[in-house]
Amino acid sequence: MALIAILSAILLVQQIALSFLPNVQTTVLLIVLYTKVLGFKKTTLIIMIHVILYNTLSPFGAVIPLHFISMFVGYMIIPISLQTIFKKLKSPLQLASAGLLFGFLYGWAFIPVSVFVLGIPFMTYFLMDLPFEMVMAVSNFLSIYWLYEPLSKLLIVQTAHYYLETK
Amino acid sequence: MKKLAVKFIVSIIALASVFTAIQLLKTDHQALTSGEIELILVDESGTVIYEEWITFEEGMTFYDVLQAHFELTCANASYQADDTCSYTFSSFGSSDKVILGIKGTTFELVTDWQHSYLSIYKWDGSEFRLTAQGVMQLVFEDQDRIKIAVEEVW
Repeated sequence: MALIAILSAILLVQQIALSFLPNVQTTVLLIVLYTKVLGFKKTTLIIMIHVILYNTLSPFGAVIPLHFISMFVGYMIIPISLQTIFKKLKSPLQLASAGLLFGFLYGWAFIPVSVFVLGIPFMTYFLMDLPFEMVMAVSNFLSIYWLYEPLSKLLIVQTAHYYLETK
Repeated sequence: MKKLAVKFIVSIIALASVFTAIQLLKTDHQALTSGEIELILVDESGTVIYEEWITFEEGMTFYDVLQAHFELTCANASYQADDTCSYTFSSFGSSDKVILGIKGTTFELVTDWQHSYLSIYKWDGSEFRLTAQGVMQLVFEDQDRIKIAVEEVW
C-alpha cells in the first residue's frame, strides 16, 4: 500500500505542477510505466486515487462532477489497451507511438459528458479540442520516448528494493 | 551516438508535425464581406432587451462588430471586469476575449463570470444553437442571426 501511495503522490504532484501548461504533462508516461512494471490492478488503483485527489484538490480539476468519470475512463484506456491490444509493445518508440494515440483517446473520453450533459455541439467541441489533444499527444510521445527507458529501469530496481525490505 | 541523433530527429519531426497541424486548424474568423446580422440580446429573466439588425465591414471579427455598436466590459486575466477590454486570452492555436457586459443606449447586460456569463447562439435555419466559440472565433456572414443570452452558472 505504501508503494501505491507514493506512486499516486508522484502522479498527482507532477500533474498539478504542470497544470499551468494545458495538456502538457507526464501523467500518461507514468501510467504506461506503472502498467508495465506494476501490472493492471495496482495501476487501476493508482488511477482511481489520482482522479479523486486531482479533481477535489486541484483548482484545475473537473468543471462538473461527471468529468471525474470522463477522466477515469480516459486514463483507464491506457492500462486496458496495454494489457490487451498493445500487450506486445515493448520499445520506447512503440510505446511512445501508443502514447500519441492515448492523447486523442483521452480527449475523446470527455465528449459524451460535454455533448450530452453540457449541451455543447459535437462538431464544435471536437474541432476546438483537437489542438489540445495534439499537444497532449506530442507531450505523451516525447515524454515516453525520452524517459520511459531510464524510469522503467529505476522503478524496477526501486520496487525490487521495496519488496525485499518489506518481506 | 547515432541512436541519440535519431531520437532528436524523430522528436523534432513530431513537434513540427503538431505545430503545422495546429496552424492548419486555424480558420479565418473575420468577415469576408460587408453586411448585416440580426443581434438578439436576452437578459437573465429571458426577456429580449435588444433585437436589431447591425452592420459590419469586411475584415471585422464578431468582437469588432460588438465593439463598434456597444460599450463592452471584458474579463481581465483574473476574470475581473475591465472596461478597456485590453486583455486577450491565448491558447494553442487561438486567442479570444471574454465579454462580461454589453451596454447600449437603452439597456445593459451585466455578468460576473462567477454566478452568470454570456452564451452565444447562432441560428442554423431551424433553431438557435450554442456556438461554444468566443467572440473573436465566431464565424459569421451577412444575414446571420446571433443571440447573446445571460446564463446562470448553476
